[in-house]
Amino acid sequence: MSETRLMEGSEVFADAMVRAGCRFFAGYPMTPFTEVLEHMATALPPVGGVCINAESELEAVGMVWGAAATGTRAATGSTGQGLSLMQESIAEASLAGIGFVVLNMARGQGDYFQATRGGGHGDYRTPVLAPSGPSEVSELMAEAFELADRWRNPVVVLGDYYMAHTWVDMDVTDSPPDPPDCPDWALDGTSGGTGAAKLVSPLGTTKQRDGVGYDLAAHYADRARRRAEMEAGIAPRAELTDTDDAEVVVVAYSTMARYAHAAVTELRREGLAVGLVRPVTLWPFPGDAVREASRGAHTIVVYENNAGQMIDDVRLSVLGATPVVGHNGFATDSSAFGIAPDVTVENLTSALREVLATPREGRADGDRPHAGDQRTADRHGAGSGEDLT
Amino acid sequence: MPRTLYHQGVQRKSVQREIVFTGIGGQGVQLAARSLAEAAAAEGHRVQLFASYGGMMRGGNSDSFVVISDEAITAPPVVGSAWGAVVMHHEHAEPVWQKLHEGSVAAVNTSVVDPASRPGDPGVALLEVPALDLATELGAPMAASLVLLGAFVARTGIVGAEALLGCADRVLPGYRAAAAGPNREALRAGLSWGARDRPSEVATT
Repeated sequence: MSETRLMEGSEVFADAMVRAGCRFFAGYPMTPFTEVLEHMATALPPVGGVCINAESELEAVGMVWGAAATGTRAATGSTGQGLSLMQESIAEASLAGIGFVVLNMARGQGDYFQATRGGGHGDYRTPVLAPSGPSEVSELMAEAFELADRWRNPVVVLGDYYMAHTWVDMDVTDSPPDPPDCPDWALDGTSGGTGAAKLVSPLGTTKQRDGVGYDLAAHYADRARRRAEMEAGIAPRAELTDTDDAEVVVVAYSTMARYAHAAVTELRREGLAVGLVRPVTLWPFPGDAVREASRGAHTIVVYENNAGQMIDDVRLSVLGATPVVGHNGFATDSSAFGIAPDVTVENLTSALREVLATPREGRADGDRPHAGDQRTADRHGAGSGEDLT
Repeated sequence: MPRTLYHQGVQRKSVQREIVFTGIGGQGVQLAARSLAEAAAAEGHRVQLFASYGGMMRGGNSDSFVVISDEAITAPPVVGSAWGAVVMHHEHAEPVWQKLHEGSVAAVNTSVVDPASRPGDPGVALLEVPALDLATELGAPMAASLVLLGAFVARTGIVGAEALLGCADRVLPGYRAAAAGPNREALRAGLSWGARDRPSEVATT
């Protein structure tokens, strides 16, 4: 039995988490994450789960760490501001080999570095998945929990204000499936005090005899090996639109990719050779896809609702083979929710027309063809790949 | 089977309709937009609604962007151009006027909207409705946006009256359930107003 229902984006996120097996959720309210927290408070109890409105983000991520250590599928989230407070625990959880999902209902796209690099300590990374809208959330959320389990590592899912407040018609089935069984390593409270106790800690999974303690060299080496396996084991993904013969390739993720898709579609209708690469995984970044898709292009335009962050990953992907410029730096709404008045299809098509008309090839170093209040030229010198070598 | 979207009697298939709502916080802009989206979904259409309202719950801008289609929707949350508009207040309407074009229909709450505030494109069909006055006569001034929506629906046929009236309960939270009746009356009043002011009748006067 299935039915279709109009569902608010924040509920889509909550519904997707419950269907992915999430049974513990903790968070602290902050727009536009608040709505997700409210929906989780409604959705979890009927399936035997627990949702806690914690006293702060610090406590929320700590609770989730504990729940995940027992093998429960767990998640927390906030906006980037709240996630700043959680960075220590996310880093420690990665070192401890504890997987859970971290939802960033971001305000704008200023949290790209926070999500893809992480603000915590130590040699850790977190996979990052970026749906382009509510309709893709269900699939990527299921994948996020699978990755968190498979690699025993926190996984970030990026949403934003647009997605939280976008209602879509969704197919909803009557009841979510049961979550998977607890893994063998999970703490179950039955073997404490025997000397063979299970241990899940950022310092190690086994303790040496009394007086010696943990072997951090061995533990860190093991985590580094698992991190490398994780990076190699997750296939970077991007969605390509009209890139085959594109002279200008736009790279955009999340909601911004929807504006870019509309702009590319409109310009293609006029016969202009423009294409779009939408990274779906932000870490690992789909560098090969960006490089291949822009092989015949004279310019790559990175369209972001920040001052230019993903542009660094795009530059690293092409290593100067194709000139890269940013179209970013948009003013926000008065509440700073990331609703940028100039993030419009018209604004982007206008910028792309200009780029299409001015191929970068052969331009002198330092020429800034796109300087302006909303467009920043490549800081390494627009048009010259040599700057990066 | 979903109803085929149509405009002024002309049947078209696989079309996409964008309807933009604008007003100030507290005018019922979000409720009206949600009602249209629910009605369209109930008729089997694909629907997307983006609700934009800031931290200012009262008096600030309140906008909503509804997209109705018979195919999967790829439109961005804030649509670039609009087939229709429901304008409750002029304060933040300028970006909305800019999205309208030849053939667009704009329902305007003439009880409040400054007559000087008008779409840039002269080809936009204006449906002038004293929505707040009509709602006040009904004893439900808070339902003015639903009067305006009813008139817009009657004029454009974007959804059926039955579907629109049918979602009056569903769009309200439990603690507002008592408002469903008055809201339905407001929708009916708007539907009547819009029906009597169809373009064919206007042309003969």
